[in-house]
Amino acid sequence: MNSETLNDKIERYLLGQMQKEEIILFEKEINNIPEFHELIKLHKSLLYALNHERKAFRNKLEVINMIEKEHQNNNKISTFRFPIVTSTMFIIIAAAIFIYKSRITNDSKFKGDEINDTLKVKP
Amino acid sequence: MIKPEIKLQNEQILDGIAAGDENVLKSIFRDYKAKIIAFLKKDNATTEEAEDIFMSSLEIIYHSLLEKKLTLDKATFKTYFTPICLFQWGKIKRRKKFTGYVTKARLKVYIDVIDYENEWVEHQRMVLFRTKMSNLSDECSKILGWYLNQEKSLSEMSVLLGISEGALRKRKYDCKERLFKMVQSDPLYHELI
Repeated sequence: MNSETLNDKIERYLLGQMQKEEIILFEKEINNIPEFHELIKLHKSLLYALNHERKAFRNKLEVINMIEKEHQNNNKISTFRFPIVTSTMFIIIAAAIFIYKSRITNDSKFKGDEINDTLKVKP
Repeated sequence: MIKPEIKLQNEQILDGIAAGDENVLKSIFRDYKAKIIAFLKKDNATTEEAEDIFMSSLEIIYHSLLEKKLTLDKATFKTYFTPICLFQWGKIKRRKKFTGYVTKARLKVYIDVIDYENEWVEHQRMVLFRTKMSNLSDECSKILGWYLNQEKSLSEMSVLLGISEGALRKRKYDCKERLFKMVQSDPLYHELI
């Protein structure tokens, strides 16, 4: 049997395109020639590699993995953001209080100076 | 005797994997991924390696289910899945000539529990084929894909490609031979015979 015919036979065997009698004869042939085993294994691996269902399953896993990773990253970012947001708010509030207080002090100082000036001018 | 709820859970998980059910797959990712990746990273795996091992282990289970080789009568999904991940990492480490705590003896324990060496070898060979197929011409990929997925007959393909059926058979044979040679010349292939 030439290698091209053998290849065709293996393909038909693995693709389930052989009749029962042909399968029995072919399996006998395989058992008698150990070199065929590796060739059949190669064909089987090729079939698996090309199989759409198997490829689709791996693709599905890759997509889920990516989504899960994004989800994790978002969680990390929001956990990381929380202290930043709170501390920024704290700084803004503290600055507002500081500005408000310093204005009050300035105002009262200014009023005090005005009174003093009036007192100075009068005599 | 296995508790009925454990068996049901196993069945649900296995049915979900076999059907490619996204919800089941997502729950497996949520329940196991972080733990397995953390464990493998502790043992010097990179995140990418650990993620690939995690997904490849699921693929191995999926393939075993397609081939009807897997029933979990004696073990829960967890006790089956975790050792596959460790086993794969052990194999990769040995290839990288690392030393670590997934030792040969420890691997043997896992192998004794459930033998999935064959499944692993089959999976690795498939991955090797996928890698090498990217080096094939577009025409070769089409011919092999169409024919071996039984999507198109030889006569349909010969019309599409504008060549005779005889020439198409020859080309299919040549493409396959080229691919087999590429695979067989890879050092990894010899570990997988």
